[in-house]
Amino acid sequence: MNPIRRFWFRLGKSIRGSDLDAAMSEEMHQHVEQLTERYVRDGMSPDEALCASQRRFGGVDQIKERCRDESRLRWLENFLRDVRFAVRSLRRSPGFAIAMIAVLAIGIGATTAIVNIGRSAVFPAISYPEPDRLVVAIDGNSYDHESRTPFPFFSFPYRLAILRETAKSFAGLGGERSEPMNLVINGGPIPTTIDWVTQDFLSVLGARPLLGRIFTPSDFQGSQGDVAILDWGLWQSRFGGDPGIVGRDILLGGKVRRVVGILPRGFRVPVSFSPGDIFLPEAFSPTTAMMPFKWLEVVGRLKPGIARATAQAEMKLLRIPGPGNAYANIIESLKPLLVPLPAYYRLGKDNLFWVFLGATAFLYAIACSNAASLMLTRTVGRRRELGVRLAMGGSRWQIARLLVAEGLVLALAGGAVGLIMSWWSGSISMALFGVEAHFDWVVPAIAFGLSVLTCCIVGLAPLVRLQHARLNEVLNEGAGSLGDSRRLGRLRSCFVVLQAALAVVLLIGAGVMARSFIRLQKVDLGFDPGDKVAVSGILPDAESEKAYLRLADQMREVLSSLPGVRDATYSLMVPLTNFAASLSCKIDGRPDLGDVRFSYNRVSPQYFTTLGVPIIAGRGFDGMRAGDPPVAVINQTAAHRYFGSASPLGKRLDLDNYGKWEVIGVVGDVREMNPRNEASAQLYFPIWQPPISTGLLFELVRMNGQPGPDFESLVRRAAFEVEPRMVVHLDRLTNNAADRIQTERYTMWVLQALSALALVLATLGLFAVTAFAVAQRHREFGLRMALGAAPADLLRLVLVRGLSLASLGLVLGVAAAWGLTRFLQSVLFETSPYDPSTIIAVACLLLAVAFLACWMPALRASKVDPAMALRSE
Amino acid sequence: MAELLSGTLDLLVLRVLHSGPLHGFGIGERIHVLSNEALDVEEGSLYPALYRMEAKGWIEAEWGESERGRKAKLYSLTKEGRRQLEAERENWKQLAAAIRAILENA
Repeated sequence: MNPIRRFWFRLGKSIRGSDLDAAMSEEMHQHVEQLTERYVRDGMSPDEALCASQRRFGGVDQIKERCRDESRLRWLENFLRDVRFAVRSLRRSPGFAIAMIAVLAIGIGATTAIVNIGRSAVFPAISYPEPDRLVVAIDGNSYDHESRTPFPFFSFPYRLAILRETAKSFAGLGGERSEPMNLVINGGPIPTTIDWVTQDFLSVLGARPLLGRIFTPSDFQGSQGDVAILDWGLWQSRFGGDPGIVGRDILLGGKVRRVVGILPRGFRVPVSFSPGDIFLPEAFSPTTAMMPFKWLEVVGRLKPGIARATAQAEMKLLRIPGPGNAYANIIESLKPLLVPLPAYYRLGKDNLFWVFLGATAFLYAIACSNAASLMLTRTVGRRRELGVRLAMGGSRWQIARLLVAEGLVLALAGGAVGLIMSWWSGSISMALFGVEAHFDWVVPAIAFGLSVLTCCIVGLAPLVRLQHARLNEVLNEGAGSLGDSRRLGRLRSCFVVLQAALAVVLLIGAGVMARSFIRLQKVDLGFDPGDKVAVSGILPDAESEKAYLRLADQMREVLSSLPGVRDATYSLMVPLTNFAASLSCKIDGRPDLGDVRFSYNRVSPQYFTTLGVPIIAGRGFDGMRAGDPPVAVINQTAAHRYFGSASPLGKRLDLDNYGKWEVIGVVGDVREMNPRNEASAQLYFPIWQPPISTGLLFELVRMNGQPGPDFESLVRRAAFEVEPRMVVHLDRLTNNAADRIQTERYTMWVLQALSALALVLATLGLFAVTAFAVAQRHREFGLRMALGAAPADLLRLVLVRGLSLASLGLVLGVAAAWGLTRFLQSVLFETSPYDPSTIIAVACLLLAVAFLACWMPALRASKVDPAMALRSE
Repeated sequence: MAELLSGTLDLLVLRVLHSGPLHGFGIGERIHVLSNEALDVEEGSLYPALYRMEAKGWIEAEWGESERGRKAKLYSLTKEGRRQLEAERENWKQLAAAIRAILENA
């Protein structure tokens, strides 16, 4: 019989254990009967025969035992029996069991949740066919950025068109850009996000329509392009999931379009591309394709067998500026970089994840040592019982097995509870990372693995004790003996010190994070976001420059007249709204500088006043109008960087085709993108001054106080009346500012939560150890008192002991934190990981908490009645 | 009684069962008789051996009727057991020859 069949055979016998036992007894009994009969035939009396046959047969039970050994899975049966026994004995000590399960649940639950989240963040589910053939084109410049979140973009669509036709590496290359549009249903506008996609986009991603069809090449020609594909979400929410919508017309962005298909439920554009509610086909004519600022997000599918490097080389075509193109500088500075989709998904998230994982590992370590410590206590309590077992013939191995079984039961129970806790990892993950963490089979597997690991750690702890167990002593001793329990006590003290140290590291991490966060919140943005609202409007079709400017001004007037509004201004972009634009130019009289870079913004004359940015030198654009000679205003950073201490006023910036602009003013710095990043060199020029782009419009509104709840609908209605096709979006700048520091906020929360848990566990550990030690030394304290010690002395004795443990942990923890918190450096803002005030605060917290933990046991110790203590056992 | 190695006991049991199914007591008896009363198998060795061989798949057991009409657990050879018997027989022959050679020539 091969080993597998043998295993099944034995398993079968094990399962049917009791039946087979009965059969075995019967068999043995038969044998004895037959033997007796033989002896009777040989001449013995029945009684003698019976005696003789039984004697000859031998110890029935032992033979049966040996037979069982041969035919069943004894290890399994023993194991199950140990487990049953463990459960029974745990039921008899419910306090211990609950404490253990709670501790283990915290450790296993937190670890499982974080590992699951991290798994989804680092290995996100990509649902496209053959995802490793997909590449995303990103700007190589932004990729080197500190934050490592790249800007996925690709501008100048005609290049995409050229590339599509000439590049041989791609099986398909698709671009997508989004803009908001009003979908009119029942006469009312509903803002939706439109994804304009080029011909290949949907097929590159392997999209299959749920209903209807996806785009065909004919959709991209002429007026046949008035078709639309709906996203599943929009189809459900706005059209009630009605399949009849396919083939019907909708009014979108002022134009009638026919719905030709619905996308399936799980379909998403790649992460950080704009998710669209409706997809429209975008074909580029030579004129539209030449227009700048159609930022496309591009994803391509490599042909089978073609390496990414080959495709990358072909991308170099794009760096050649087109004919007469004003943005030659910008184009030349582009470095399109092809990044494989899976790697692209991982960008920017690594750091945070490792910080969390490290912190969670600490928590796990604390939980384990706490549990081990509890286990040890219990073993001490059972010394008598274990001693008796040893005396009755049990081997050390069997007792070890018993303890491991108990550890396993506890670990599995803790793991089960922890698993339930990590159920929530899905929703936490969404909030923290914007990543969906799926609760699939991997999560229970991780939880189970951790349980087993924990069980080994926890169950093995008491084994250390067993090595030193001497049978006689154990059986004879009373509860008050010193000797071995001192060694045990030392071990438990080690655990407490370890836990305290780990908790200290986490606390320091959390503290430093909190300080960083507070600093971030208070950073000077250069303006006050509190009373500012950004209203952005997008016109679906390119209007003429004149019409654009007229519209902008109209909007400004309308908004200024709304109740609660102090004033309004318009510009290309507004701070904290995640838009950025930059250009390079030369500075007249400074050929040594070569091409200098500016971030820029085109603003209306009221901009600086409304935003509240001080004019430090020269003047703003008040009183100027279209047709005036071109001018510019720069910020302080730019002034220092490019002009040093000399005044930049009157100097000229050479912008090639757009002429030379005179610097007429210097304004204060504004943190445009993000509170974290310092202001860059910023250039402002009047909104009527070329280069002009139409399409995107920002109105910045300064309120008197806070905007009321219906402000948004007021603005929408006003905008609708001015221009029905314009889709309007409101942002309160304080919200935006808060959004920008979301990562830091969440990091801080998680660290705070973990360190709080760690502190609780460590405190409980300290309390348990101290209380136990006091109980153990009951007799000793009685003795001391009898010999003349005062209650206060005993109190002090216990307190000092407890506090010195905590202090030792503190010192170790600070030393460890010294080495480890530098990993936090990347998420810290203007805060050193070695911040002394944090360390001092943590030290005080720990000692205070330790004091509290030791107080009660110390009080107990001081109240010992010497007479009782000496008499008791 | 001579000391028997457990492997040898297996061989004897297999041989005895070759002639037909038997219960435990019967196997012991048969061995005793066939060896001209030289070998007396201990029950304490026999039954564990039977259970072991059953777990290895060389013999199988069934509850049937003994010659006395009583319920008895009867063991019989399996195909694998027959193969094993042949193999053990060969082994034994070679072993016996080797030992004889040493004893006679040393």
